[in-house]
Amino acid sequence: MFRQRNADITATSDEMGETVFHELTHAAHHNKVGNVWWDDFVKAEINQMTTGNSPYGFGNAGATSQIIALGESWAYHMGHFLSDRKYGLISSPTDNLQFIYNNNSPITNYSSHLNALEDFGPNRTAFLDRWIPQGLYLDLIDTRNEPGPVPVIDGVSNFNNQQLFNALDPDIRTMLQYRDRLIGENPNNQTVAVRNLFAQYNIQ
Amino acid sequence: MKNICFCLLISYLGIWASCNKNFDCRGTIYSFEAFAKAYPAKDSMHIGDTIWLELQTPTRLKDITSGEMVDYSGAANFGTVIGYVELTGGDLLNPGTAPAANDFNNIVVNGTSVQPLRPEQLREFLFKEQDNRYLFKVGIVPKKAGLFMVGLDNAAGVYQKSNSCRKSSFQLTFKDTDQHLYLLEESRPGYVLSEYDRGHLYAFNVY
Repeated sequence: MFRQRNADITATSDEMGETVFHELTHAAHHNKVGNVWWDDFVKAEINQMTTGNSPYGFGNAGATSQIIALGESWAYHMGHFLSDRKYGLISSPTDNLQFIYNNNSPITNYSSHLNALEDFGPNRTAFLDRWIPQGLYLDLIDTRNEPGPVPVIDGVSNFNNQQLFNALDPDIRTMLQYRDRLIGENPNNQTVAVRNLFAQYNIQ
Repeated sequence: MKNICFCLLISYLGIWASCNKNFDCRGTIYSFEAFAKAYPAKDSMHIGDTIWLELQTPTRLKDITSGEMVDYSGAANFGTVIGYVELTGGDLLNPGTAPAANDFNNIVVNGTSVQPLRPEQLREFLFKEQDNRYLFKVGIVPKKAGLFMVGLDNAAGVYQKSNSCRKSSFQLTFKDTDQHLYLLEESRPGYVLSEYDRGHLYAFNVY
């Protein structure tokens, strides 16, 4: 299946899939947090559209940036995670806004979608969207605990998407609040390592 | 009516956010690669000795995706983040690494040092452009004994001064260098090195 985006740009099935999964993740998040939260999220992106890094901004707009970081990082994660589940190693190259990723590179047996998440670099200052931590969730889940020092040191494993989704409550509007809710809902589950991992993403 | 407008707005935002990655300069146009060397490539050194990390690459580069040769001179922000960790001993799930950037001095020969986001773990540098090449050379001088590893990060969101929408990414990896990665394997039994590790990491002992 191909989709025409502009006159000279087409999209493959998994690119379409990633977009659909991304948007459905937003819908599920909306369903969980309600209209007040979601209204603020939409307004936040509208407010950032004129910043020069539309529609997310530069991550320096306080509560506005924080709600964007939370809502978009979760959607990017699920978009790529579910595309990997569906298309695996037949995925096409994918652009996660930093790089164009391919299957098996840089990590063998990882699809382009998982590579995009696993190689996310929250400390590359030239990368304008580094503060939207789309790679964080896979690092909480996977057992490929990379040693760092770049892109991150990952000492956490074996969380699942349900646990991660459960912590996206209506009163959670920042990544720091999300970290504390995740730890609170999963007591004695790698607490120190979870804090260290969030710190690697500059959430502390 | 209000709900319909709200839904339309959400749909519009979603499509904008996810589909138009090249709108307003969001997407990456070029993917390049460049290679670094580390020398002298000894697996052991003394406190006060220097490891040199050096990278030279032409400004005319081959786009990995299209195979096209591209003049990418005048990059405004081409550089790398170098990370430092001490290998403290881990296992399959525990990386066994601790931030260690403050255990080293850095001597910048080619390039410019800039403020990193995580100074206890990282140092960040911008490359120098000269004679149609990008140049980078930094000396790493340990201040304490231990088993250490440095990592060379990729460059993302690079753009040209003449056109901020002409964005590129660079895979920056070691080449023609003995990276002593057996030290990482010994420090972390059971861990299987990935291609990423093999490309980006360099381990050494300091006595």
